[in-house]
Amino acid sequence: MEQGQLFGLLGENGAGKTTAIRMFVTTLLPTSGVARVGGYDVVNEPQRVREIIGLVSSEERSFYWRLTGRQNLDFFAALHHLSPRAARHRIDELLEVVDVRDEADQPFHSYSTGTRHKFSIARGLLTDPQVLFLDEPTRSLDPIAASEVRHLISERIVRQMGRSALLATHSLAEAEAICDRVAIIRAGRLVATGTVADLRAQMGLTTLCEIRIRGEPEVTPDELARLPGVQAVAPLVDGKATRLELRLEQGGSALDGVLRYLLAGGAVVESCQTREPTLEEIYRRALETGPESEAPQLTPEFPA
Amino acid sequence: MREVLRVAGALFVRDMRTAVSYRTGFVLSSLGAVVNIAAVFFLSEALGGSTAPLLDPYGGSYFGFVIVGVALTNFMGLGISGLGGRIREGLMTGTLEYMLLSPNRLAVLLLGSTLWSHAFALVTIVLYGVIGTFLGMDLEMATAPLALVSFVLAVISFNALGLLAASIVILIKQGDPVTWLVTTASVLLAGVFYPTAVLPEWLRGLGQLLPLTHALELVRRALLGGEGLGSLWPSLLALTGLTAVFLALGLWACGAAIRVAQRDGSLSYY
Repeated sequence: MEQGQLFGLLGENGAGKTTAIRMFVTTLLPTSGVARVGGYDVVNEPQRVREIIGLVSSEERSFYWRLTGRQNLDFFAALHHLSPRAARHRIDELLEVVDVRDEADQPFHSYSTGTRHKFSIARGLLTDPQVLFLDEPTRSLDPIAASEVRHLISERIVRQMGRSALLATHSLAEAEAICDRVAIIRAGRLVATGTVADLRAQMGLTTLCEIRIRGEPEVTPDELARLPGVQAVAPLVDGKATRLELRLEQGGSALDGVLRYLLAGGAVVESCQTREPTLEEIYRRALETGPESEAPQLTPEFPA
Repeated sequence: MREVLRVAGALFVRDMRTAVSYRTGFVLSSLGAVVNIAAVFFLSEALGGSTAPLLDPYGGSYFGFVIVGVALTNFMGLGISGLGGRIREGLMTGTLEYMLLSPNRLAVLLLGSTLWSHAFALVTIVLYGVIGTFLGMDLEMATAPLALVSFVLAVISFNALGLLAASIVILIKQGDPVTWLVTTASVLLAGVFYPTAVLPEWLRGLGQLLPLTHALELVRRALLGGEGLGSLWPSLLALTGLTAVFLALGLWACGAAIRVAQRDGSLSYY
């Protein structure tokens, strides 16, 4: 994971996302393997790791509900040895960042779930950590609140504040929308890792292309399928038009040749649309093909 | 040291704010102390002025004898079950995991978590003293410095036992055999309501293993009997020894329990 990146950790329920995060933040000892955060070993240098990380979970109960949001933050700031003055300043700043200033002096139990999650993010940022670990921070949020939290994480924390963040989620749409890179894990093992484009290539997934043509071109689907970069062609008659569904090699660079070939053969191209495989398709492919027994053990390193 | 004080202060303020936010419970707890004193007063009145010779070393008054017994037993309860209770609460809410992520020693976090309840109990004890004196408890001969030192040592020993109890809670979550065993044994053998002299010899021997036995002996004889270090040093030595042993054992057990919980992943559930 590189500095200043938002890294997504994807996996089904029980895949080991929370377990992995708890190892990275040193509250759970790994049985084997190595993990380093900021260059520090999570087993041998836990104190060093704790000094540079922040943890955000979706566990709302991890606050003191009889206290106000501000009092909660003040308490956790003191635990991290922030002086009263520094804590006051930092808390005011974070209340602005997560946009809960107006609610800060209300009891924690009176907050909506979305507001509680925002306070959880503020708590994770109290020590201005280099790396922020977020364990399903949008879980149980309504779509608007989830969108706000996603924006807060990707735009404010990662892009503007320059923090590195690891986001555990089982929402593929969420990971695709905001993560720079993702890792897919299954049963505690890394199945695939990289940018979404990398994963498309790794998984051997093709670019899908749909072309609608008119006329009666002197071109057969078999001829198209023999063009470089074309993997398969399926013709479908749709009224007076013919619809061709093509699978092109990753990136769809063969499209230019296909269109030229069709036009040269007398076809009138009505429309042409390409679609890259979604993260969901990548994810399904990774889970289908990732050999559990051969997959490498999870030995990630976080930015120094 | 400044950081430790800041953390301890934050834990104190957190618990005070939480306690005060439960207004009814707070008022009832405060009233409870007064009711306890009244009950002890009427009990000693019912026994009449008759003072048993066994109470002579403790000033001769049953009222004073029991007030000290009840007050110190309350403190023992706080010290032993308070830490386990805090751990249990932290496990249930998930706050323990966040506290352990902070750069503080475990002992500071745990002991700091009982500061408020100790402060509240201290106010109660002062209340016991004031009302007790008003109702006839005689403190004129008191050797206050020795009583104070003994009291502080006793509180440390109770919290050391609390660390042992907390380590069991971390491991098995429900049930707290250490608290049950020590509290039950102390009420029976330490001489809370009667002098240990009435116990059979072998039970008295067992009672010597309990910090409360020595703490009560020291505080009562210094506070009510006016005795000094010259006659009380064996009890002081015993209490100091027990405190050192239990403290070392408690800190080790708690650290080991946390490590086990970190390995089996049970730090975040209850």
